[in-house]
Amino acid sequence: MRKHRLPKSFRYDFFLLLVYLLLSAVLLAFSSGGFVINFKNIGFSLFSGVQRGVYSVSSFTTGTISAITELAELKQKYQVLTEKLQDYELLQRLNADIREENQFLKEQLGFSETLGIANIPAEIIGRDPNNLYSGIVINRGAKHGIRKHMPVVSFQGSNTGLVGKIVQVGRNTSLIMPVFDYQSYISTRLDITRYEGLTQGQGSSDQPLLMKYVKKRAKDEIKIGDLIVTSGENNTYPKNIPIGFVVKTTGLDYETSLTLEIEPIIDFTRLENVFVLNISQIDGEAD
Amino acid sequence: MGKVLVWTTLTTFLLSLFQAIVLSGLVFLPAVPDLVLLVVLYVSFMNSSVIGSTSGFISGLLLDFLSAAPIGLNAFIKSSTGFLVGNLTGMFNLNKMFIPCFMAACATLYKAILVWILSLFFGPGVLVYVLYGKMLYAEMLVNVLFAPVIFGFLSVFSSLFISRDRYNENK
Repeated sequence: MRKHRLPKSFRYDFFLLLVYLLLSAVLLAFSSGGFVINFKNIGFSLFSGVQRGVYSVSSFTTGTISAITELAELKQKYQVLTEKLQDYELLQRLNADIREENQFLKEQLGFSETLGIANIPAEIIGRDPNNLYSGIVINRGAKHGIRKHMPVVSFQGSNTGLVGKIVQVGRNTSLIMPVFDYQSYISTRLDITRYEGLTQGQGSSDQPLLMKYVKKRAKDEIKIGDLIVTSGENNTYPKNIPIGFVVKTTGLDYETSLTLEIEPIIDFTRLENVFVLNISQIDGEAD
Repeated sequence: MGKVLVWTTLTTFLLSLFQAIVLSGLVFLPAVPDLVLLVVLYVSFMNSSVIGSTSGFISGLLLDFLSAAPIGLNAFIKSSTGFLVGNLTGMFNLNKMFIPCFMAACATLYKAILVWILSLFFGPGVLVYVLYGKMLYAEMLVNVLFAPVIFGFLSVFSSLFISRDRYNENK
């Protein structure tokens, strides 16, 4: 029997590499070009489901460990308190915790109701493992009514602010592109003077947002601390959602427009809960 | 080869989740370390370019699913890194500190260059590192710091991450 032999110069590893690179490049081209089959969506649904599971297990473990620690502390306190008959102090502390939690829940509930737009509350369960990208993963997906391009807001302290928009939807989880992402462009305006511009992120929550293409004649009217809100001109974001405050104005003499540096209202390092807005319902009502 | 690929896939999957859930939330870290890249470096160097590129492709694809990056980006970067490092197998001894740190620094730099080249072909969807920005150097720093830890951890279970032939050769 004759055997088919490969030529000596054939390098199997090199051939394999070419296959992998070609496959990666094809996927990359499909992914950025909007191919009919969304591989990313399928993979995201599959793996983010596992991510959600791992998050649940890790939060359960953390919760259990915290509960055990808390229990040990309470036991120790109880022994002291039985001698001194100070059970009341423990009750007071518990009451304070419950009051605080109650206050937080009331605020969240109140905020959810005052939004005036149907919304889906969600919790952040992960962030992008890649430094160049800044996706935020939440624990709500298509099953809960979330769709691509839905805007996301949050409530911090007494401020409401825009977080970003949904860019990827899995069955149980979704991916948010935050306002500080390189690829985030939002049509915005100054709340008081109503001058318009395009607000773009710089890739990191530490860096200010940039509001570009603001008319140069607005220079004298813009003040540090002025509020920037969404203009609502494209249908992605509702009108008048606060984004941030002006911290710096720049514009060279030969340029026709100004660029404003904006400090986001939302502190993304402390962000835990968000609200996904279903603006299609507003559009539906308007129709 | 099969055993190495299975264990590498499992490890990179768990590490990419660790990156996404735990490390990305630590504010004291200047950047998120690319632990998957470090695993690919170790596995490629200890085996061959075939295992290197294959494990790089699979683990890169897993990372793509968890990231906002376009699918295929990490697969491309890591399979080519695995191939290159796999060709260095046996050229020098892998000590505990210097070589892992040096490899991590070079791989991060290579990744930055490759991302820039890919951005020329695939447009603005592929984000690039800014040469004078702090992100590239911050990531390089954390990768260098984490490299001895990851290499040390994997070497404890070397029988799982080195193919039988290589393992017997090393013995």
